[in-house]
Amino acid sequence: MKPRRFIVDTTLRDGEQSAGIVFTVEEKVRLAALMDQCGIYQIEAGIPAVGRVEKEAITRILAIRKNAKISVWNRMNAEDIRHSMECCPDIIHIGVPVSYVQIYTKLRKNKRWLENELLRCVDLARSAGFDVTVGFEDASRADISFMASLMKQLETYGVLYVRFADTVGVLTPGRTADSIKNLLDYTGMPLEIHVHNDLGMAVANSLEAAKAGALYVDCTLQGLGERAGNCDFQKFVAVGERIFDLGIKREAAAELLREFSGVMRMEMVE
Amino acid sequence: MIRLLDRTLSTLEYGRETITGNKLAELVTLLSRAGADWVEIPVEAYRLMGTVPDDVKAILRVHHGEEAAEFPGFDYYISRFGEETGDLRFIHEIQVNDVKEIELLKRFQHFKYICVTGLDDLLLWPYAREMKKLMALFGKNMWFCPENDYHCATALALEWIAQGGRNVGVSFMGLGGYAAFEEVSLGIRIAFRQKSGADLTLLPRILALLSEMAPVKVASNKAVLGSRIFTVESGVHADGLVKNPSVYEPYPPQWVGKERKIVLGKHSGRCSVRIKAKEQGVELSDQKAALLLEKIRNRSIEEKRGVSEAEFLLLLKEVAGHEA
Repeated sequence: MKPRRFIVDTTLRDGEQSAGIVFTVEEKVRLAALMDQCGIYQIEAGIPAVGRVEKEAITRILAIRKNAKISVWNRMNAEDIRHSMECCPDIIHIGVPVSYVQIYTKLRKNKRWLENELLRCVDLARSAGFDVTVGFEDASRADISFMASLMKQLETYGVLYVRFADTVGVLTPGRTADSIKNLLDYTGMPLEIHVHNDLGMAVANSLEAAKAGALYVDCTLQGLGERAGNCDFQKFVAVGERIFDLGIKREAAAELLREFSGVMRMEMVE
Repeated sequence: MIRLLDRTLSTLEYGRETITGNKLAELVTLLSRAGADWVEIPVEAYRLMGTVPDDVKAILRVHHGEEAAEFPGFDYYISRFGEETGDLRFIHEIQVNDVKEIELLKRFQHFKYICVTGLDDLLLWPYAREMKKLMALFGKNMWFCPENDYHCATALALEWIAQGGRNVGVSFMGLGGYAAFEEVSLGIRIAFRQKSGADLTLLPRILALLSEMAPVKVASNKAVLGSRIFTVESGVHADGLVKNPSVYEPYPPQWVGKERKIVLGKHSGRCSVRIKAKEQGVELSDQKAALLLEKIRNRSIEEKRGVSEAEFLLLLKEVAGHEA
C-alpha cells in the first residue's frame, strides 16, 4: 500500500496573491466546491483581513464544502486573527517569518520578540477553540535549530503541524530532504511543505519533502503564485501518485482543471 | 569543474525559413557567453552556419559515428548510432528510460565517452545511490542529460552536480524535454554559490532570438524567463522588498536582465500605495493612504484584475485632491 500524503491547495490564497489575479466570490466558491469533490484535503481559502468580500467568499466556502478542511491565512498579529475567527474556519494558519533577513530586516525585531508574539497569537486562536497551524516563512534560509526550538514550543500549545516554506524558491531536492528529516527527527511534529518555483524545482522539491516524511504538500492550480509560482497541482499529482496515495479522484480533478482554465484570465496590467 | 552542454540547436526543426545560419551563429555565441561550456550543433545547423563562431566550444551531433570523419575539427562528436572512426572523440548517447536499466549499462563501460539521456523518474528513487552507480560505471567522461517527463529534470541536473557529476546536458527553456539551461545555470550560482563568467543578462536576448526562429511560448510566470516574475502586488511582499529586496527575491532581477515592478490590486497594502503616490510626488497621510487603498482594492475586485497606472492616478486625485 502506498503511503498517504495530503494535498493542501492554496490557489485561492497564495495563487491569488500573484500580481493581477483576482477571483470573484462566485469563482472562489465554485473552485472550492470542485477542489472538495476531487479529494483535496485542505483548501486555504483566503486572507480574512483583506476585507468584507474575502470574508464572504470564505464563509460561503465553509457552508458548501463536504469533506475538505478550510483554512485561512494570517499575519502574526491579533487583528488578523480576530478577522479570521469571525469566519469560523476549520484551521487558522499563522505565518511567521523565521529567517534572519525576515526577522531583522522586514520585521525589524528580534527572535525573542518573535517567539513571544507568535505564542500570543497561537494562544489567542487556541483559546477560542480553533485548530491552528503555523507557517515558517523563509524556512529554507532560516536557522534549523531556531525552527526546531519553536516547534517544540508550538507542540505544547497544541499546534497541529508546521508549514516549511521555501518562500524564495532556492531549495534543491537534497537540501529539502535534509531539512525535513532533521526537523522530523528532532521534534516529531508533522510537517507541511510549501515551495516556490523560482529555479524550476517546485515539483521535485515537494516530492523530495514528501519522500522525507512531510505529510502535507501545498499546491496551486497551474502553479499560480508569487513570482514563478508554487508547486503545480496537476504536475505534482501526476508524479506523486506513482509512490503516494494522494486521495485525488482523477475525473473530478480533470473537471476542476477545466473549470480553472475557464476562470483564469491572466489580465496583466502594465 | 561543472560543464554545461547546451542542446538547444538539436531541438529545433530545420527547414524553416526563419532559421538562418547568421541567427544560429548568433544564438550559439549568446549561449556560450551565457554559460554554455559546450554547444551541441547538429549537422543540419552546421551546414547552415558554415563555421563555428570563435570562442564557442562545439560538439557536433552526427547521424551516425561514421559521419564524424566528414566534419573534422570539432572537439567532440555525439550520436546514438555507430562507432567512432580514427582518433575523433566520439560520445555515445544512450537513452535510459527506467532506473532499473542502469544495471544494464555495464555493457557500455568500454566506451571512453558516454552520454546518458533520460532517467525522468530518477527522483522517485533513492537518486543519490543511482547517480553514484552511474559515476562508478563511467567516471568523469560521462554527460548526464535528464529528461523532463516527470517535471524534475532541472532538479536532477543540479543533484547530479551536487553528487559530484561534472557534465550536464540542458536546453534553453527545456526545449525538447531537457533540463532548462537558464534554471540550471542560475541554480549553480544560487544553490552552489559557484560564480562563473556566465552573463545571464543575455537570457532575454536569447529568448527573443529563439522566438524569431521557432514558435516558442513562454508563460508569464516561467522560472527565470517569465515576463512577470518580478512584478509584485502583495502588500506584504512590497513592504519587504522596499526594506531589503533579498527578503522576497531569490536573486536580483538585474542578474537575468529584468527589473522589479510594483503594481496595485486587491492584495496591495498601504506601503505599495505610498510608494506609488510618492512616485507622483504626493506624500499621503495614514488616513488618506488607507482610503486610497480601499478604493484600489474595491476597483480591483470589481474589475477582476489589477489596477492600471491610469486608474491609479484618477483614484489618487480623488483622494489627495490638489496635491496629486
